[in-house]
Amino acid sequence: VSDSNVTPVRPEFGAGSTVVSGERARLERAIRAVLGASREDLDVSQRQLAVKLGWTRNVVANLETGRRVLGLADFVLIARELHMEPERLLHRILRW
Amino acid sequence: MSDDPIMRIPTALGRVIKRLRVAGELSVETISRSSGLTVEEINGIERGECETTLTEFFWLARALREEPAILFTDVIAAWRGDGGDSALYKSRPSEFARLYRLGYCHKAGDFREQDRSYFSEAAAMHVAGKLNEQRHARGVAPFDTITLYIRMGYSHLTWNPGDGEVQP
Repeated sequence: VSDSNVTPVRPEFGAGSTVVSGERARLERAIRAVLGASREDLDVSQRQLAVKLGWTRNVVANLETGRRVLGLADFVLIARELHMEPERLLHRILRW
Repeated sequence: MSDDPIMRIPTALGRVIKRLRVAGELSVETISRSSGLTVEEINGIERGECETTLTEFFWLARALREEPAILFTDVIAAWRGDGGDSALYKSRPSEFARLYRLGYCHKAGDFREQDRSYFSEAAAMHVAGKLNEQRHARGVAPFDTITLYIRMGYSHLTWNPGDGEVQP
C-alpha cells in the first residue's frame, strides 16, 4: 500500500504485513487510557493493583504509559482484579 | 491444566482462531500477511503455545475479518467453557439480534454460562427455575444471571433465586 500513513507492522516479515500507523497509535492510546481510567474509577492506586496482581508498581505504570506491551491474558487478569467483565473492558477500549 | 483459569486463555484463543480461520477457508500464510505475525507465531497461537498481546489480537481479528468485540466474546466464552461446567459454546452472538443465556459467577473473573440460549428473558427465567431445582439437588451453584447479547453488546439481569426479583 503506497500511503505514507501506512507502515509495515514488522517490515522483516514481508510487504503484505501492513497496518495503518494512525490506527495502531489510536488503539494503543485507547488501551493505555482505559487501563488507567478503569483503575482510577475504582479509586485503586497503581501500587494496590500491582499487589493484587503480584506485580511491581512499575509494571502497572509501564502498561499505562505504553512502555510495556499488554498481553491478552494479562488484560483479562486486570479486568478480573478490577471486578469487570473482560468484554466490558474491551468495549470501553473500542468506544474510547 | 493449570489451576489458574487465566492460563487457559491462550488455549481458548488458539481454538477459536483456528476454527474461524478454517471456517473462512483462510490459510495460515494469509493470516500472517494480514496480521503481521509470522507463520510460526500463528501456528503457535493456534496451538495455545504463544502469548498474544492485545494489539496483536486486534490485528488477528481483522485478518480473520471479524469484529474484535465479537471475536473477544467468542474467546472469553471458549475460555469460560474450557474445562468447566459443560459450558460449551455452540452458537455465536453475532448470529442473533438478541440472545439470552443463563449463567452464574463461579468466582471472581470466572463467569460461566449454559451452552443453550433462549430468545426471551421469560423463557430463560422459566428454564432457570426448573434447572435450579436440579442444580440445588446436585449441590451446584444456581443460575442467577441472564446475559443478554445484543449483537456485540450485552447486559446482565441478576435475580435472587429466592424471591425471583430481577435487577438490571
